[in-house]
Amino acid sequence: MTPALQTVKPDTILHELSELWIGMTRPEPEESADGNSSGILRACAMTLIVFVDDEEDSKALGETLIRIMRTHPNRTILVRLRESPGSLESRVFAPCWTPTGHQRQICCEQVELSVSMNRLTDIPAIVLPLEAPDVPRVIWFRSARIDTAADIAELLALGDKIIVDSARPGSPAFADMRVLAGAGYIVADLAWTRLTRIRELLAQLLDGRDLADIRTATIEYSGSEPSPEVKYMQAWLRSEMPGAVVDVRRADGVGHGEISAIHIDPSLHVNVASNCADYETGSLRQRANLGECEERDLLSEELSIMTHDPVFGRALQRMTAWTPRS
Amino acid sequence: MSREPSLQDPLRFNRKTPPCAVVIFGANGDLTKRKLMPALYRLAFEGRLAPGFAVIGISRTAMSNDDFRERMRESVARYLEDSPFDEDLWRSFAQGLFYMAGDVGDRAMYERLAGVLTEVRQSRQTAGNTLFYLSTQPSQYAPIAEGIGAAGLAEGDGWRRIIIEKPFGRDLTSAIELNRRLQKVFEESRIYRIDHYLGKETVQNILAFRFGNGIFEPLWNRRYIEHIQITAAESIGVEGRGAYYQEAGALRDMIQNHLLQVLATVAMEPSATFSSDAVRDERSKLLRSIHVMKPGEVAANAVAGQYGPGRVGGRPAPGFREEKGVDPESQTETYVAATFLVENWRWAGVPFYVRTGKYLPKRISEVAIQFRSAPLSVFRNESDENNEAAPNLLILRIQPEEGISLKFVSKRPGAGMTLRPVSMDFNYGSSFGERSPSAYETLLLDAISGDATLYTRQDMVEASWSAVQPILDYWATRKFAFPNYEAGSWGPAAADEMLARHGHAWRRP
Repeated sequence: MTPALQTVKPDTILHELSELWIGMTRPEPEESADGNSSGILRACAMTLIVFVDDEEDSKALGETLIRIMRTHPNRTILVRLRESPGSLESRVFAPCWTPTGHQRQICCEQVELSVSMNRLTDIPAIVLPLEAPDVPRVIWFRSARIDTAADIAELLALGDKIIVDSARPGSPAFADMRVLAGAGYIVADLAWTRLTRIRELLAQLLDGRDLADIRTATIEYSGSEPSPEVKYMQAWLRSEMPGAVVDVRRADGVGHGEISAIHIDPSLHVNVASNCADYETGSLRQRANLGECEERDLLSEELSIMTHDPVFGRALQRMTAWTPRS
Repeated sequence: MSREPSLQDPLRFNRKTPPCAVVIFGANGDLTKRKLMPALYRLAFEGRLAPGFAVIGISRTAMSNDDFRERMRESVARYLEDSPFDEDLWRSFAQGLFYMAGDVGDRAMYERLAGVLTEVRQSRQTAGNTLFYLSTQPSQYAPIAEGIGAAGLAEGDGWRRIIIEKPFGRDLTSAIELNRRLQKVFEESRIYRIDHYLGKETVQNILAFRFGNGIFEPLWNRRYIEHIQITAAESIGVEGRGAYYQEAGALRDMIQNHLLQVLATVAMEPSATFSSDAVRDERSKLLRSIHVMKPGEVAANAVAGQYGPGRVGGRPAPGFREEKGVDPESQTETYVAATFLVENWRWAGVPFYVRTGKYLPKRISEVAIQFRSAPLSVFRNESDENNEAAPNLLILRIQPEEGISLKFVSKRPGAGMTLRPVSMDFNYGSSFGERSPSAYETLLLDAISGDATLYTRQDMVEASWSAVQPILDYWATRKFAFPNYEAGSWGPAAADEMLARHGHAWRRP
C-alpha cells in the first residue's frame, strides 16, 4: 500500500496506472518492430466500482473480480470501507491472464481504495476522474456498512447501473430499489438474477400455454423463512399469470429459504436442486441443467445488461404484496 | 396499451428451439461423433433444446438404442469443447436418442423410419417437426432425399427440413443436377446447405463490424482500398484423409465454398434488413459479380501447389504423394492462390487475393484489407528512403486469436521524424470473455429455428461454382510439376509472382 493519508489524488493514481502500463508493454529487444509480438493487450469495456467491507475475504473477492474481468474486461475500482477513522489509501495493479490457446496476455486494471466511513464523502471526487471514459459505469454495493452511510446520493451518481444483493445483510429495501429505478437508475438485484435459469425453464415448459388459463401456482421453499428469491418468484408469477393464485409454502427439510419446488396447475411439477431441476410434464420426465450460480456468474449476467429490465421492473413493483403460507 | 402476459424475458433468456426430431443419416460417422452430437448435447446443456426433442441415428452398422447411446456418450465426453460433461444431464438427454440400422438405398428402410418417427412424435412430443441431417457421402444426398420423399416423410404435421454438408456437387453441372433432384422433394426454403465457416462467430462479426459501425463503410470501396487478401492456412497435412482429399483438392475443398463465402461477406452490399433472404440476396449478388475468368486468364490468376517433403514444427513432414492412399503421381492441388475481381462499381479494379493450403507454416484464417497509401510521402528523406507512410492495413482475424487489428505508422519518440509501424488491436476474447458457441451449435440452432441466414442458397452455390469452374477446366488440361512447395513453407513461388505482377506481396500473417 502507498500510505497517503488525506493525500490520495486521482492524478497520482492515473499516473501510477500509466507507469504500470508503460512498464508492462515495453518491448523486449528481440521482439520484431512490426507490432507482431505476442505482448499484452489492455482491455477495458466498462468501469466497475465495488464497495466492500474491509473485513471481506480478500482472496475470495479477488478471485471473483478476476473471473469477472475475463468475461467483462473492466477497470475495477475497489473501495474498501473500514470503521477506523481517518484513513484513505490507494494502490494500483493489473491482473493479467492468457486465454487458453492464445499467445497474448490480456490485462485489466484495478485501483484499490481503502477508506474510513468518516471519509466516504471524499470518494466521489476521487473515483469520478478514475472512471474509464466512454464506457458504462456499474456500481456493485457488496458492503453491509454502506447501509449506515448518511448520504449516498453522490456515490450513486458515479454509476449508470446499481447492483445490490437483497440476500446479503445491509442491502437496501425493495422500496429503496423502486425509488432508485424511479429516479432513472438501472437497478439490479442478484437475488432476482439467481432466478434466471429456473424462470427460463418455466417459460420453456409453459411455452404455448395460455397463461390466462392457469389458475394455481405453488412455490415451495426449504428452511424457516422464504428467501428474497422466493418472493421474487412469487411476484414474477403474479405479474405474468394474472389469473393465477400464487402461493408460497414451506416444505419439509432444512435450508436457507431457497426454492425447492414449483407446481403449476396439476400438470407441471419442477423439483429444484442447486444447479439442476427435475421436471415432469405430461408423460415426459427430464432433468434440466440450471448452470452455475456463483456470485461471479450472477454479476456477469448483470454486466451484460446495460438497459432497464422491464420484467424485473414489473416484479419489483409487486414485491410489497407478499404473504407467506406455512 | 395492455400487455399480453408472457413468461419470456428476451433480455436474459437464450433463444430456444421448437420441439423436433433430428434424423441423422451417417450416425456412426466422424462428423456425428466429433461435431453434431457434442453440439446437440451442448445445446441441451444450455437448456436451448425444447423438452420435446429426439435424435434418430441411422447407419448401416447394427446396434441397439443402448449401444448407440453409449457410443454417443463416449464421443460427446471426448469431443466436447470448453464445457463440462455432466453424466446426469447426459442420461436425461440420452433418453431422446434412438437408432435404426439400415441401408439408405433400401426403400423399406424409409418405411421403418416413418414408423419410428410416429412413435417418437408420441413418446417425445416432437410435434411432428423433423430435421433430416445428411452426414453421408455426397453421392448419397440425392438418393436419400428421394427416399424420404417417396416414403412421404418430406411432408406431414409440423415442418420438415433437410441439411446437407459440402461439397454441393463436384462442379457447376453436378451442383445444378444435385439441386434439381433435391428440389423435387424439398423446396429451396427447406434445404439448408451447411458451410460451417459462416457459422463462425468471427465471420458473422464481419457483418457487425461493417454494418454496425459508421466509420468503415465510407472507406470500403475501390477509392480507398488497394487490395484484399483472404488467407486460410493450415499447419497440418491431409492427416489420414489422403484418399478423400485426392478426389477433392484445395480449390473444391476450401475456395469454392468457405473462402468465396468469406469474400462475399467482406464485399457484399448492406442488406436492407437482417432477414435471412435479404442477407443471402446480397451475398448471392456479390458472388454473381465475380468476374468469370476466360481460359486465357487462368494461368495468370490462379496458382496450384502441392506440398513435398519438408519440416513442420521442427519435425520432418512427408510430401502429399507419400501420404497413405495418395497416388504417387497425384495431380491434386493442396494449395491454391487465386485472384478474383468483383465487377461492380464498389470494387472494380480491386484484386481479391485468396489463398489456402495444407502444411503452411502456421494455422491462420484472416482477411487483410490493404488501404491505398497516403497521396504524398511528406516524411520521406534522402537518408532514409523507407521513412514513409506504409499503407494502412486492417486485419480481420477469423482464427485463431480472433479479432481485428489496424496497422498504422506512428512517430518514433526522439528527435527527427522517424516513423514506425504500430498496431491497434481488438481481441474478441478480451472484450467478450464468454464462451463462443461452436459453428455447429449456431447452425443447428438456426436450422431447428428455421433461420437460414447462415446457410448457403442454391443461387449462391451455383455462382461460386461458376467463379471456379474455369480454373477447374483449365487445370484439368494441365500436368503440373508437383510437388512445388516444401511442407512448412508459405507455398509455391508462383503465388508470390502472381501478386508481384500487380505490385503487391502476400502478407506474412
